[in-house]
Amino acid sequence: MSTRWASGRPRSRVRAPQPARAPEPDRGPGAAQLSLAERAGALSAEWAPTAGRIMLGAVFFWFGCHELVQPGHWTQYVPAVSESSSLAVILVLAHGWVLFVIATALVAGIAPRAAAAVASVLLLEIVISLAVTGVSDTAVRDLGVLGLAVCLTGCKNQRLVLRG
Amino acid sequence: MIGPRGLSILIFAGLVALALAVVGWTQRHGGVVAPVPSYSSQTAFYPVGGGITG
Repeated sequence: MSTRWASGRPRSRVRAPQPARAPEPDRGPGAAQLSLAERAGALSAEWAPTAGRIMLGAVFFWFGCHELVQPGHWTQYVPAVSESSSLAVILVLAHGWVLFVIATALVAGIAPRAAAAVASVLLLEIVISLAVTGVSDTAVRDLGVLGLAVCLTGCKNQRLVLRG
Repeated sequence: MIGPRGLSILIFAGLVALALAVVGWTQRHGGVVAPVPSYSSQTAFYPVGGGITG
């Protein structure tokens, strides 16, 4: 014979009294959209610095690789040095090396604010060297990338950061 | 500020970048590995695989 009913703790069908909830305010028909906008805002505030950091790292990685593998295509941008000299090639390789390491730090989240600060200095140098020869499309574009790097320097709350 | 894991990753990336720089230094003249040969009119022309003709 089954004694299942007696094996457990006796249960009462009478529910325990629950604390009374406060009445929700009437938010109107736009309440759902407002909630969605709030959630999107919170999500972007949480993840936007990380997305910007990784994208900036991708840009640095791309140009760093190009400068390292094909320095001859970049020696024309070295100021005050002959384009065909070995010194220009060495300067481009050193610049590409720094870009590559900074890109790694940005993507991996290693000291991201310090990496963004170094990236800001590098981009400021690039923008100035381009602007000296005259305002061009490239200089204006790099000015925008410089703005992203400056913003990332001030972001304290970042996700996917490597600690330790 | 930078932990041991971060430092290891940065050192590895620096070495990879150094290897790429060596590749770039060897190809610094636009990838041309040999000058283009120039034939003058007085240079004898030998056809590839040319045997005895005539």
